[in-house]
Amino acid sequence: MAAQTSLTRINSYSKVLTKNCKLQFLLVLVLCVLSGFMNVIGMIAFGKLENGFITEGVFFSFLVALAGILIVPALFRELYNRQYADVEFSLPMSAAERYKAKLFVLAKLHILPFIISQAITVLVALTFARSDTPTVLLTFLSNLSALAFTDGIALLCMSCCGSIVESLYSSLFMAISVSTIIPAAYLKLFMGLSGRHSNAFDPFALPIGFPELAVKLLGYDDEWYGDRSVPMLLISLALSAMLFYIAYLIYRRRSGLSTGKPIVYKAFYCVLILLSTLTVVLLCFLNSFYLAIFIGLLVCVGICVTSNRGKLTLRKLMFSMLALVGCLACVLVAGFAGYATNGFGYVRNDLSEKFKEHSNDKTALLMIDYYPGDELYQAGIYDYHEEFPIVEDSDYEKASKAFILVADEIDRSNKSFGDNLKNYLDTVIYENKDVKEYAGATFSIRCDVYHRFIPGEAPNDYYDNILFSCTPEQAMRIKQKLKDAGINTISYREYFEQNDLEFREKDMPGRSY
Amino acid sequence: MIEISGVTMDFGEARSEKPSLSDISLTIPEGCIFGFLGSNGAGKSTLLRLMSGVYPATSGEIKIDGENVYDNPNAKEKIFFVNDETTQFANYTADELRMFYKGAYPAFSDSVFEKVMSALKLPLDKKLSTFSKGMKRQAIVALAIAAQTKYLLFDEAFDGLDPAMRRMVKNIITDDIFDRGATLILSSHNLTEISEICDHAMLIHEGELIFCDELDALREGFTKVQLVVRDPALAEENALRAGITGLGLEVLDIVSMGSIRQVIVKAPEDEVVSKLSALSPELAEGVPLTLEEIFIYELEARGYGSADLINEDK
Repeated sequence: MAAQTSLTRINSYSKVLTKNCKLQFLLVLVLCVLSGFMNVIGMIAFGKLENGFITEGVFFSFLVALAGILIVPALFRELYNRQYADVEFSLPMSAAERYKAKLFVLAKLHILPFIISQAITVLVALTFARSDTPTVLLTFLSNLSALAFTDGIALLCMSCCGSIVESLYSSLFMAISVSTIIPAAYLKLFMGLSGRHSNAFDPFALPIGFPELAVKLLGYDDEWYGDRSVPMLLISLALSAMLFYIAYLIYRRRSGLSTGKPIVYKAFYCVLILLSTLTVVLLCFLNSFYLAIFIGLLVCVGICVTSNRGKLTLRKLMFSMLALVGCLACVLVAGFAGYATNGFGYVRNDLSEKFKEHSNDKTALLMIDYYPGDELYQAGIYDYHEEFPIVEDSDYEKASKAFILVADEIDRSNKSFGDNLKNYLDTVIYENKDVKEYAGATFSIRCDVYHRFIPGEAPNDYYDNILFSCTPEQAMRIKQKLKDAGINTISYREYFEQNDLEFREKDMPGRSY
Repeated sequence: MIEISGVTMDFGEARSEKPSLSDISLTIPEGCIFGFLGSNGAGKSTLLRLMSGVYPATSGEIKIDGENVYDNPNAKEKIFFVNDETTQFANYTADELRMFYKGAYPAFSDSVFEKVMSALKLPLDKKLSTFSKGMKRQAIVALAIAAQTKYLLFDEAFDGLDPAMRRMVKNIITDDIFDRGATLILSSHNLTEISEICDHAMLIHEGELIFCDELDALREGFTKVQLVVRDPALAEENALRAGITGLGLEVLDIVSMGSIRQVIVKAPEDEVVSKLSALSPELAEGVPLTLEEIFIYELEARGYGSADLINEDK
């Protein structure tokens, strides 16, 4: 009897596995087509990446990556279905051969269609938007890294679980937790508690997990896009490869014995419950302590009840509660330490003291909003009493004009203030020096000092684009300049009255806290 | 040859629970048809899964022609395991399954597969989900035979087949086994079937091996004796049991029908009749037991079955 070569076995096995994933493949295909289509449309129709490409194309690419969570269980049916376990474990194949065959199918059904769709995007970028090619290539690498990360996490979770339910939710929880935990800890414990908003260190650029997901969950959409440098993306790919290898080492130890057990390894159960609970607590920390307890309780008890099925004991339930209490205690202790040590020594100056003069009642806010592609263009100023001018019937030109006027005013009247600021904050960015350079983009002028000057302001409560402190007199001067330039403004109160809305002072932006 | 030495299988779900298999040792010679008998949950399927490398044994070892079977493709190439379900194949046509198994088993024979499928009148191009339960089992049997492995392991292989098809499938399997000198190992609750086609059998109960031998030797090892003893001291069943046990015979069961006692003894007929002569019986006539009777008496002797409950109720 001639022994079958390992390659023949892998090849033949992978053909059948492919058939097991028909539906999932279809889903990936649809998402890849949508992703490629959106990218191409974004580039051809708008000629700029910022309009269509960054949003819809990336969103669908993100969904393609997430589809890995569905494909992996379809490939590893023998780990949660006893009938498949009988067939697959009794086949004349080693665990290594089975794993290789599954990886091959994963590459074929998940990674390859994605690479093809992205390759089309790159080709289109080279043809129609040559200047955007570096961005497209970076985005491609970023998406590939996200895809590899999802597959790696899904493989790791699948090899530790013996049930499809656990495999699905643990993959999701782990992906979220791994992506979020470091940025959340940094933003809450360092920045949040230190009272400092800094862009000097970008926690989303770390090569771990999905930066976009973490950015969204932490509500930093306007601040960061989760951009990583090429070396970071390469490190991220290497880390994902490590996940693949760890999953292989665990899979090799699996037999039909653990098929059907919700979570096979106690260590994985502990990691899952602790990581998920800690992430939830960190996400809710500084927003609402009660919410942290409530959602944390839901997560840890949910995992405990689901993964223990009918074998739930008081001891196991107590462990999950202990995990929550432990996580809360850790975050509180770390939070207290962070608070007591000025964000672990992160804050070099007591800003509130340095800029005390800007936090009085007379402080007004200068604000300009600019939404390219949207119907409404706004440019305005408001103070804390009732002024909130809105540019009525504005258009692109008017908004740009208003923007330039306001930006100039800010630049001029606050130059000394800004210089002064820079002595204390090395991260204040003034991107309004050359407005035209950003004419097609969302303006991103980060005057993060805003959070320093308004007492009681929540650290993550941002307004758009330009937000700056000035005196009411300065505000009125700018308003007059807008009027002189033919830009109609109405007050916030008038705006409500004209639209038959009930005016409440707390509805004013900046007054809700 | 399959050698099972000191195999214990403990699923470890609860510390208080007995292992599913305790220290099982047996040898399955080449070219035989081996029947696995046992009560429900005795551990037959677990043993089959251990033999086909689905589970690793907690302790002990299983060797196929001298090689450990677990995670060893060389050893597993010699085995084809058919479990008691077919749901996992629902999405495939028989032809697709043929391609799958052909890639896995080096000796897979297309001609044998087509011949068996044609004999069973099964379509090659239809999904198994459109087949009846019996047809699915027939298709899997066809694949198992076509894999041409040295050892075929069937767990409740004939479930879901009608009597005519049962006979036909049995004939196809046994013909193939005899032609190739292969070994068939099958577990079944149908003792008549086992006794018809098997030449070796083992009985397993609550994870422990009760017996394992050639079927003829097994049958000869048990005797049903029609016994009439006039000695008043042996009138009671317990006294009679003690008396017979005192002669060095293991009594499995005694049933009284008037003055005639039907005694089931675990010993060959000659030995039983010769030893019982010490009780000066008026009648001591031995009859060999069927496999079914052996199964029932062995398990009843271990407190399994409902006979005692029914008697107690009466």
